[in-house]
Amino acid sequence: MKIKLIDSVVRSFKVAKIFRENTDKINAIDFAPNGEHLISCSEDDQIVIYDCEKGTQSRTVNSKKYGVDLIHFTHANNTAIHSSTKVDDTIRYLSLHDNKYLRYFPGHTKKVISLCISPVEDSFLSGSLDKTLRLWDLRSPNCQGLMHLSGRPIAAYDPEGLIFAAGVNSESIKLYDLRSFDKGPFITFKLNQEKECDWTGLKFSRDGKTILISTNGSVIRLVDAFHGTPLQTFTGYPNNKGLAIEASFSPDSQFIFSGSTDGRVHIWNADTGNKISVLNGDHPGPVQCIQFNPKYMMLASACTNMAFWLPTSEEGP
Amino acid sequence: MPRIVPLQLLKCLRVLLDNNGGILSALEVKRIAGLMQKYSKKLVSKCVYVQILKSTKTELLGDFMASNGWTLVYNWLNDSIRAMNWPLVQEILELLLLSPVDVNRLKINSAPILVKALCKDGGNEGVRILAKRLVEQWLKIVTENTSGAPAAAVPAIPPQIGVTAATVTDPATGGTVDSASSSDSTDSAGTPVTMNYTIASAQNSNNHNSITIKWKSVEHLDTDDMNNVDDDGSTQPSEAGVKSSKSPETSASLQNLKKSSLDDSCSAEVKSGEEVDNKKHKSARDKSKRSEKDREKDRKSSSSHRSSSSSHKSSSSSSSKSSSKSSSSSSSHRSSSSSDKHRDKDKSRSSSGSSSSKDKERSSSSSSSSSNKHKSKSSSSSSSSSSSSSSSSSSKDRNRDKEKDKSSSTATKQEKDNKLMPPPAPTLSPAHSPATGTVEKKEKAESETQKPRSIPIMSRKASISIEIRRDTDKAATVKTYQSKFRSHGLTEEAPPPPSRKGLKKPTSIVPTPSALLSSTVKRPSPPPRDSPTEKKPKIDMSNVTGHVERPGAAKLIAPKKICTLVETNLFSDALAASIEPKKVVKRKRTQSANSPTDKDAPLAPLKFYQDTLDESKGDEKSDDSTKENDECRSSSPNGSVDADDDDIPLKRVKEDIEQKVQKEKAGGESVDAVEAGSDGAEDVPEEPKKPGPGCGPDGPPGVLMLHRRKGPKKKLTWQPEDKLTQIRFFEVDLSERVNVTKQTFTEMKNLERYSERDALNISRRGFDDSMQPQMEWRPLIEVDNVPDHPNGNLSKQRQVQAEREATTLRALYFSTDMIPDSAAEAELEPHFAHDIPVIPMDDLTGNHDAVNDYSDLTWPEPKGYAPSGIGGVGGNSGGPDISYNDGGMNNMMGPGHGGPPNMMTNNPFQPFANNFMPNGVNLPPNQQMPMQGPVPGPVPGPINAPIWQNQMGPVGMDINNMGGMPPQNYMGNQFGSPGGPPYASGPPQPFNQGFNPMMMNGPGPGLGPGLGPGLGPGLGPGIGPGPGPGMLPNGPMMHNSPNGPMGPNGPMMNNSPNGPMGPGPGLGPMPNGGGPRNNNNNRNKNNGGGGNWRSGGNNFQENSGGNWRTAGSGSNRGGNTGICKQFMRGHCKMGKSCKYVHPQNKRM
Repeated sequence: MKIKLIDSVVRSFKVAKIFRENTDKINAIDFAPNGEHLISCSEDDQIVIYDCEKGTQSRTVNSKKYGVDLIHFTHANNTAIHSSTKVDDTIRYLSLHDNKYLRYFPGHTKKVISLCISPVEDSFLSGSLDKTLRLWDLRSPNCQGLMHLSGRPIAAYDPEGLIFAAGVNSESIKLYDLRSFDKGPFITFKLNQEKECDWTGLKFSRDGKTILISTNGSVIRLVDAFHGTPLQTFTGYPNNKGLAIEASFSPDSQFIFSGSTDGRVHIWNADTGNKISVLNGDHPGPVQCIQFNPKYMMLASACTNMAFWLPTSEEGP
Repeated sequence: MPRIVPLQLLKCLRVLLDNNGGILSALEVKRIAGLMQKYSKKLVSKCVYVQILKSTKTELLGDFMASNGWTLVYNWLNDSIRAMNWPLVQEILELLLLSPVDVNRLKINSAPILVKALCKDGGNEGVRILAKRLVEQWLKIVTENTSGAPAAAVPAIPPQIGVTAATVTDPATGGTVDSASSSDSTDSAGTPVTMNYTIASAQNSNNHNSITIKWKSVEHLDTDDMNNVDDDGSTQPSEAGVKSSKSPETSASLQNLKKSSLDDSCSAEVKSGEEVDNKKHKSARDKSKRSEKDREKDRKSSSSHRSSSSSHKSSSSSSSKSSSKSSSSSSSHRSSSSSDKHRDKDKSRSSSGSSSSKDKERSSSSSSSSSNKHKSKSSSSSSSSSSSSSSSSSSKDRNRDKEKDKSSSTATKQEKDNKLMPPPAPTLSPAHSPATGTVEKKEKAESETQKPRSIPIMSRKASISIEIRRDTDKAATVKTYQSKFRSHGLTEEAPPPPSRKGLKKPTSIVPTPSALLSSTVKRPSPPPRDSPTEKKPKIDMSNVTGHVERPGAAKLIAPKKICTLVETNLFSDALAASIEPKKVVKRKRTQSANSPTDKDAPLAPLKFYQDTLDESKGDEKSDDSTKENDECRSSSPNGSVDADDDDIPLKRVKEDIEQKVQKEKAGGESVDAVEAGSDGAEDVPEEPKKPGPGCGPDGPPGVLMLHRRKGPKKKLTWQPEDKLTQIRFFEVDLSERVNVTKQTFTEMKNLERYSERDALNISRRGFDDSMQPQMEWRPLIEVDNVPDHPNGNLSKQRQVQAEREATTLRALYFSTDMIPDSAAEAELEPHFAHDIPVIPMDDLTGNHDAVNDYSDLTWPEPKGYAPSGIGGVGGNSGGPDISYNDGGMNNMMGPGHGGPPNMMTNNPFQPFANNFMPNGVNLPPNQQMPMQGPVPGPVPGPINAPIWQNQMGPVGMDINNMGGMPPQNYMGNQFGSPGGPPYASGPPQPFNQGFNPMMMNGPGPGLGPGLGPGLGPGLGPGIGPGPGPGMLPNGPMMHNSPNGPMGPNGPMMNNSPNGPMGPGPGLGPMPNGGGPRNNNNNRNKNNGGGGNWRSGGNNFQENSGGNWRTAGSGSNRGGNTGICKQFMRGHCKMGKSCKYVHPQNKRM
């Protein structure tokens, strides 16, 4: 049974599960494309995998040696890539099956702040404070492409895996065709530069029509993915700590979710820009990670605790 | 597999082979064995290997058999039999004939059965004959003690000779020598069987040291057999036969010589010698038997009989005796080196045998009797036991005499022999002397051969006689060995056996020539010689070996072996001994391997013993060497004399006590004294050492002394307890101490970290983390209208990982403690420096159309809550809230109203919420609103929406946005200011109705607190708190206020106030709204406010800071609404019994 995601349903989301697996802030979460698993990494160097269908924590591994951040599932079962917070800034390809690293991707010389994997193939992008953006392939430790930027880079793949977007310097978005990225961006969107904060994340909507830009301030931008037209600005959530608070689309691209430093979840309608609701899950700390399950009616938010939200209302008004 | 070309195969193996095509050395044996094991599937390779093995020296062959070769050969045999490949079977059988075998090895697999089967079913005549021969040989080995243990290693040799041309091997290996000797002997005794025997004996001799043990065991067996035989037919024909066979074994050639000599002199002497040998063997057996107990005595008697019988028989086969002697001598050498036994044996050959081992000693009494018997027998033949003892002493004397004679006479062998001969003659009976002389010579030769396998050459080359004599002298040294015996008991050693082998072999060879030459001369000395012969051979050995080398090590080893032999009287010891021989063989092989030629190898061990002697001899060697050596030995004064004395007393009374006394005496003796004092074993090593280190002259005497001492050493008693035990105190070094509980820095760090983390968790969980699930987990529902996700359909790593997981164990962690700190490292991958494709920042095509510049365009302004919803009852804007209001609210209302205040409260808001307009309407129903209140919690803002877009307020914070808000603001403001008061005053309802008026809240702020109380009713409480802060802002807007976010509301009136209000507090005001009002407030904000009233607080919490709700929520319900929160959330445990309302349309 599938249900349409509508305002009332969105508003009815309540916390159904709370996991206190971590002792420190969870700094990244990622759903598997099939929506069955969620992986999280935290500043206490733990990687925790959750079973979304059962609403349970299914596995935990440590990465105390290298630290862990920006973790992402890869396409294979039980594999993930993540950036390091210790030792160096190498990106690491981890097999969770046997808890073994499969490959390292050295290259970045400063903290990696953006990491995303192609929805189609084994390539992935990483952006670092060293002002470079690199294109990789899981099959090789060698960098497949390197971009030097003038500022902090962020990147994202489009849902088709044909295009990737690079956010540069909090003022422009460049779209590259993966098949000819060496020819430069096929289009560049120059936007009004963000004055009070930096872009910290790019996300294509699932329908590929819009790009969501999250920041480390209390503002979220939405632009047209084809023309770069500024569409919406979402505010109203507190971010008084300059945290890179994640913002996410719902899988139907209708809603936008964001965490906040007040521990609540803010929801806007992507089309209208109107705020839909603020959900209170009593998160004790800033909610920095929030994602909607790519397949199911389920929302995950995390401060130090991981919360799974489910709708209490499944029907329209 | 590719074809195997024999030539190529041989070429490949060339490195491992010697010139004859045999295995090069012991070092290669294992490699070859391994190769053969792996690559012997094909017939060609099998044949090649068989040929290689057949041309391998016996010792190496033994090694090979020991290292799985036996099994391998068995497999070949098995295969070839199955394949009916009779030629190959024949080859293999020949190989088996050549192979050293012992009982244990025969037991390893069913090769014997196979061979036996071949006797009958062999494919052709040749195979059958070979098989029969093999069976006979093995049977002997099994049945004969000697054959069993000692012979085991060598048995194959004779067959070689018999079957194949052994001559080739002869020169190189002792075995070959033996074969040669055997062949020589064969001249006299041409029968292959005899050959075999000789071989066996040779083997025995070769292995002696190590073998001796075997011998013992075998002997035991034999004795048992003998006993059995005796029992069966008192006569020991079979045994005798065996023995005789043994004797013949060693000295087939000798036999001839001996026979001649015997014939010449006295068969009795020979017999005596034989007897002695037999006795020795028997004695050993007896010892074992003794250990066995009473049987021993019988056995002894029987053995004596046997010996006698053997002697009788021996008369025919004096050579056998001699051989036995040789073997015995060899054994004695071995044993002698090892312990007193030999000495004893030497002294009172028969008795000595008994006395040699402690057990033997124990049994010695009996053995003595037996020995006496033997002696008597021997005596009967030659002389009394005393005579035998005298013979031993005579031998010593002879040595002395020899030396003297030597000095006087030339160093020719004959002369020496003569000299040697004379002494015995004088001491004993002259008749004996000659016979013994021959025997001695033979024995010497044997001993020589035994000791120095390489010796044979020496003997052959130079003055065989002399060397031989030296060997005999060495035999004296053998006594030293005996002294060593004790030590031997402690340690098992292989090396000695090889020497024996070598010795025997060479002896066989040597003897032939020397014996032939000096047979006559030798004849006289035989009886006494046995002991002397032994000594002599040792000496000779020493001489020879001295030339060779490796003195010390060999000596030590040999004695040890001997010791083991001696001590091991017990059956178990015998068993162990049987095992030991193998080791011995191996060692020998290794030695042989080490030495370029096999002979050398055997020599080496001999040399060891000899070395000491050699040194001494070395000086003397040139001329009078042997005699002088003998003299020296004898001269070694105290020792020799004492030994003699000891011997005598032993002979006289072989009682243990006496022996002990003798030992003591020996101990008292200078050189011996120390040794004796220490232990028999110690004595032995010391003695040899002494001669070695001592000056040439001193050395030899020392040796002699040793022999005699050996006699006394019969004492074979264990060293005093205090000497056997070593106590050493180790001081505890504090620096060595390790504090096991000590923790490393990292451990401490981790502990600290964990504890800190725990503390942090506790504190956090305890104080901050009030997070609780608000609903139960339910199955997931798919979201509609979701575009398909490519889901990595082009991923190749997915497949790779799938394959990987199929072959990789999953890491399972059953507890958090098991989780490693970090994942396993990735394999290192070559990281090539390569040109990384650069991704350009700009479109290289220069297409300016590719740039959409919106940099001048300001970002769209954020929007507040959608107004749309407001209108609708649902206040959709408020979304859920509204809904609540509608449905539930109403219901609520019902009750709510009932409850005066509460109801009221709700209403007010509701109205608002729902529709502004309708407020009025709502009013009544409003109460429901309160419910919303709760709802709002989540959506605080929404409610407001109804009113205006208050939402904005909540959401956007931005005042401006509020656009619509203004009105509210107004409201707010108005109220705000006034609000305060109103609240207070604000009787709920009025406000409510006023709704907007209610807005009053604005005032709320300040009022907040005050109000609470003011409200009088329930309000007091709830309000108080929340409002305080927030009051102002929200208050007015109500809605806004709720927004907690109030701040935003600010726009409304609130704004200003809101700012402060911003947060939860804003709501506060709402509550203020007064009981009822509060509701309104709640509503506004959250509606939740509804609950306000009482709950006032409640509402607030949710809305604003959630104050309302939070705090109040519970209370509110209780009081006001009566709607079941649980139910609203989806499930109420109380069910129908719940005292709160369960609105039917809760879900909206």
